[in-house]
Amino acid sequence: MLCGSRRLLGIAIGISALLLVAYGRADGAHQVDASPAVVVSKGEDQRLQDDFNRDNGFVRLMFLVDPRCPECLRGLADMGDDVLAKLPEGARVKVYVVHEPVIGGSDKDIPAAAELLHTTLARHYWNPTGDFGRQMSRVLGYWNGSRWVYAWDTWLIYSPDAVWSGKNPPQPAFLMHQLGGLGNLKLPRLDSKIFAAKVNALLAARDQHDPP
Amino acid sequence: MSKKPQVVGVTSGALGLSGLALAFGACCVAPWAVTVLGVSGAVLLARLAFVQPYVVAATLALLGIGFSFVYRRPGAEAVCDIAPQSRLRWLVWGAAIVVIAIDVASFVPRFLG
Repeated sequence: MLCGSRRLLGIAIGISALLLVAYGRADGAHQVDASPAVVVSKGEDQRLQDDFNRDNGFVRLMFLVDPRCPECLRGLADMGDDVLAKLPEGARVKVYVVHEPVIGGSDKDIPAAAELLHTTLARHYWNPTGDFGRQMSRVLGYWNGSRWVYAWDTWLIYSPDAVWSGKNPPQPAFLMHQLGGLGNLKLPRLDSKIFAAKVNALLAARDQHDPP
Repeated sequence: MSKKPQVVGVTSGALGLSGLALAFGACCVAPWAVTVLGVSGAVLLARLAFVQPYVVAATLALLGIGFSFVYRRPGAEAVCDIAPQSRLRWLVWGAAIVVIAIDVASFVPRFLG
């Protein structure tokens, strides 16, 4: 009896594992079709800054992720489902996704990650040196009392009037993250529904000030 | 009656579940998840990661059951069956050390990043 139930449990676990692998693989194969334009962003160029300032007047979202990090990918999927897919048509929103090689991600991983956003509003930047995460760590004040925490798995909202004038990006209007090393800072953990509410509030304020 | 099947069942269950807890706990710092499961599978793993503390609790409960099997006072008919009982105690203690080590390791990634 006991042996029979153990065998059944083993079979059930085996089938579940196979289904999980097959589900991921099948979907991954489909995602290779989407090939977003990826801008290589290094310290010496200013593509991201130029794009950011050109989009003045839009609510701008900036996501810092590693395209191989499951938590970051879950964040991108949540942003796609709960924020970007629910925006009203013609919403004045721009999205910049800065991909950083924190746990081994590479530019080859970006197309599959990009598809999770279900949008053409996003521009993707690949920062192979990882300098941008170190820079943003200082900008966002990611000091946990003993060290600077690298800025990734971080989700930012910039108001329509934000301007990136100096070397560093401006302070965001709102920030969420999924970093274990920032426990002391009381910064909000990523919740895509709250994030969506903040985006919609900024859009509403912008439309009140400057009707479309 | 030998308790070996029950003891082996609960200890191997605890070991298996602690491996699952480690997979959930390490999913943010483990690039293998995308390689093995693909993007959607990795997203699913990350979405299920909230169950990790419950899985850890289940491993401890299974260990508790294992200990109760090997330390519960035996019935009169099993009094002479001492040697196998001793081996089963070693098995449960060994499994407990491994499971607790893996459970602790599964929480470490929460403090990284």
